[in-house]
Amino acid sequence: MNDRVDQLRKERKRIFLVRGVAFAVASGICYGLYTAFLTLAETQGVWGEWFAGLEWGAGNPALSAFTITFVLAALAAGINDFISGIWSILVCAKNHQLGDLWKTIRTKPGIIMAVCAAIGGPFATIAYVIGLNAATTSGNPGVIVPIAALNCAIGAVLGRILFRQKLTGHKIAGILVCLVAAALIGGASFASMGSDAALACVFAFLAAFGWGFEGCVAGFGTILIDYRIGIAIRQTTAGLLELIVVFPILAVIGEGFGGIGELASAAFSSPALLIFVISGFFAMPAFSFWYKGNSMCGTALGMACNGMYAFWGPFFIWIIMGVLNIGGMAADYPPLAPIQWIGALVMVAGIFLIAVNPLDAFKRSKKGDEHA
Amino acid sequence: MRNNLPPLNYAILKLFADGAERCAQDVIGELRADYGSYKLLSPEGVGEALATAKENELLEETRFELSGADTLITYYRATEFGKETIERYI
Repeated sequence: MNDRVDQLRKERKRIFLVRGVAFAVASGICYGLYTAFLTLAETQGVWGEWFAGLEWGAGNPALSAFTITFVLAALAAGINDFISGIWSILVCAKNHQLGDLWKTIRTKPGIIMAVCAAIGGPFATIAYVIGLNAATTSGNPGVIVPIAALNCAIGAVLGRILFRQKLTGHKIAGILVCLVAAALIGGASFASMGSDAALACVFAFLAAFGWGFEGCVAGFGTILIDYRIGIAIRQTTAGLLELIVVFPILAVIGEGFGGIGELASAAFSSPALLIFVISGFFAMPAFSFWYKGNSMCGTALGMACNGMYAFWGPFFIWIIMGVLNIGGMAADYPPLAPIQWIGALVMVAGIFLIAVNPLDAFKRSKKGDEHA
Repeated sequence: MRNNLPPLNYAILKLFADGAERCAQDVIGELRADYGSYKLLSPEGVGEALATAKENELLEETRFELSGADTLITYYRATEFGKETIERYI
């Protein structure tokens, strides 16, 4: 009977590994698609006129540089996160979890989660969108995705500083590899795109910092909450804060009090909203598949597979907007330069190193051979 | 679901605070009276919750049993970190 138990355990482990890796890889792909559709949405309808610095709507004057950089980023991030929050709530409804969702928000882990979302959302997501937009203006939006992927490395360093988590050799090596990758991509972007790329990379780095901090601190909250409920709390809190607090404040600074209503009503009545519905849709599984994958193949491997988004981000921006020419601006969305693709892959390798100890993996497979 | 019960995931974890080992079916049995109407109080739903808690190091596997010819049953108990975290936050 013990033999049969061993056999079934091995079989289950193999099935879980394959399915877990599939989910984690799918989460990285969804992350890439979310970024690509968010970038696409910001080129359509009134957004196209705003970013082109043209008169918009029925003869409204062009927006100021401040508004184009900061206010639109807050609005885009807010719409995207809020819509992905609605998608997440629908998933909870499907699983009859709405009662639990409401109760969880009022517990300690729920509050920790919401506070962390306030950092990861308004701060990091808006910085991410500012970086994305600045990189789009200067020629290639894809480059900032791998820079933002530095959040894994920053999370590990913050974990060491804030919670005295151990930084083992492979983690330090992984962090160094990530930094090399970021330098490779940043340097190449700077050379080909000029000084605008610097702004894009700085904001992508700020996003990485915010997400790294969120991931590091939210940990205690998230492990106790059902992951579907956790995602709904996270996305809804972030989206609402961005739309109700950050966007109005920035809009008043950029365009005066009238700006809030004008920009919001133009954005919400634009057909581009449908594309935000798609980007928000992909933002949801980007998180939930990651959690689901982790529960099957282990957190370390799951995190490593998810980290492939450093590659999937620029890849899908190029495929959707460049190759498929959705949005009709293929010429503005060239593929990354070879050195930048290499940088993205090096970043994936770095994230893999932070997550998985190659020596352990090697030892485990040897042990498995001996047993077989 | 208007009731005063804690969220299902909390209830599942809270069971393990006593240090005893349980499998998914045990958890379902203990919670059925209160949470019987919850869709996720199913072998798949609870199984996933336990596997996730194990990945987060709240629970650890203790032993495996065979049910019939092909079904593997996994038993879990709370780790020290798990007990501490559950007591502190739930």
